[in-house]
Amino acid sequence: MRNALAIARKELGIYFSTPWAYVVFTAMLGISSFFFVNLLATFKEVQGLARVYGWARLPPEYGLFKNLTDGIVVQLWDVIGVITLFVAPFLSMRLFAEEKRNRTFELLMTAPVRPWEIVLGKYLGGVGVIWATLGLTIIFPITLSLFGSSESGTALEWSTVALGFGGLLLWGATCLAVGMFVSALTESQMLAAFLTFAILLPWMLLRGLAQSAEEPWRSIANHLSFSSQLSTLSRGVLDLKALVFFLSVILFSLLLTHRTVEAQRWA
Amino acid sequence: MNTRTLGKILGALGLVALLSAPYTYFVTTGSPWMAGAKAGLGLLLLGAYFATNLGEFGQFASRRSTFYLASTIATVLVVLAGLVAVNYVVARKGKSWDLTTRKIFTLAPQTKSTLGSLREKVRAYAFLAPSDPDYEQVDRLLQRYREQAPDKLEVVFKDPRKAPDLAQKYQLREGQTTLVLTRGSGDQENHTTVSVSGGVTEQDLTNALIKLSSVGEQKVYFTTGHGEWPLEPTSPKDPASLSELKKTLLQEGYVPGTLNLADGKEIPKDAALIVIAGAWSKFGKSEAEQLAK
Repeated sequence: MRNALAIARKELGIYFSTPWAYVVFTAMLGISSFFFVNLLATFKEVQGLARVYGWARLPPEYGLFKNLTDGIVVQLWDVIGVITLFVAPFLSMRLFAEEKRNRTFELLMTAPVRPWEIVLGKYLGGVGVIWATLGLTIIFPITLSLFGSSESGTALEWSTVALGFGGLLLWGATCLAVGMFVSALTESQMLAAFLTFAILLPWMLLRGLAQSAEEPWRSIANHLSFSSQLSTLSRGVLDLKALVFFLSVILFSLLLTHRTVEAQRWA
Repeated sequence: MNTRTLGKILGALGLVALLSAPYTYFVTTGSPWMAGAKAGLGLLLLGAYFATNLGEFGQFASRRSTFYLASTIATVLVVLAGLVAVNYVVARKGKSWDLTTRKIFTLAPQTKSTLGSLREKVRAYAFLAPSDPDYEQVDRLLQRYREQAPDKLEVVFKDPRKAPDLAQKYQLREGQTTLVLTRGSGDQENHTTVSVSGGVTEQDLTNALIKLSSVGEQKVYFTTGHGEWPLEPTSPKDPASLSELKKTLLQEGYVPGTLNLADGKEIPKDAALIVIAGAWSKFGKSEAEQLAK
């Protein structure tokens, strides 16, 4: 485990010593700020309409905007989940592909560390960066909490906000696990990023497929859909099946990565 | 660009085509030919990748790595089966905790007791197109009901445009978004409907379940013995009967039956309604007294 942590530290050092991580941080904050401001503007507009006409006369979908948590934060988490889908492949692509391209992978394999320690170390390093990226977005609910207000007292329902944020971190860790497996398959970083995106996007959109399918496929596709599982958490429901699902994907991806790395010894 | 790199690009495009083929069928065109062609093209491009990068895979198939390959496949399959089993069990029996302050995703105690007291399986047909603005809300609500009573509630989403026969069976107008709750089957099937326009509330759905549960307990008796219309045709030559009314009553959840008040018989206590349909002869004194009660 000590070796894994050493590798994780090394990976984190590499991420933070290159401009790449800072580009990703800036992109994440820039794009999510854009959506945050838009949601805030919509919230203000609907609140204004409600003051004039009353909630009963507004379309039912406007009911979301009755409070800051549902009107802004829950929707923002959904948007950040989609942004993560684009960001994660760029963070995971270099984990193994770069080592292969630079011919340092063989060096790593001859080091006195076991393959699972390499996989775990690189994964923890990658997770550290993606969590740092997602961690920046907590600034939005904090801002709302500081400057917002509500009739019930606290501006935000922090239990819902925290669970949604936890769901996002889990989603980021899942994306990274899948991305790391793809990175272990190739020495081309761009190909790794593209393939990771090509796998994660349809997987996330499986919910659309579920809506058009008949039972039992509908339930199966819904269960396998990242967006279905994520939306349960972001709305404030701590669902055991969502946690088990994300952890299963992470575990399975790590196993596949381990077997791919181990395969180099046998090749 | 060398052949191997070109093969990798083609393989990536093939993977995208293969993975998006189900969407072509279910979400966009709905054409099985188009989806099949896309999947075929995807497989072809993936084939091109494997053909151009055979060298890399040759390493796996070498004698030295044969054992490793076999053990990897076995391990992956065993772990996958284990994870599928765990996910299945958790999906069936798993717990969830509503962390919202107002517990907006928790079913009311009355709903839980109603679901718990269902004596037979209820099937909920949601006649909604996936593009309907209420789809999401109805889906979430029904999911909560199903999680509460997985063995007693079955949820089936139907696009009314794709299931016209079923929509006609439940007498839905074109484009009508409705939730139909049914129980029983064949002639014994009862149903009740809930309008979906603007979403469905928990109260509406639970009330509909209560209504559906109580149907079948109310009996409608049709008097006989005075030349009344029969509930079913008495002979092929004389098809005149109340069979259509009987069918409608059954669908609405009433149990139709016949009642002959001759010989001093009393009106059954479970009678919700007595119907005298086209009597030709007068009722006797005792019969009239019974009906007057």
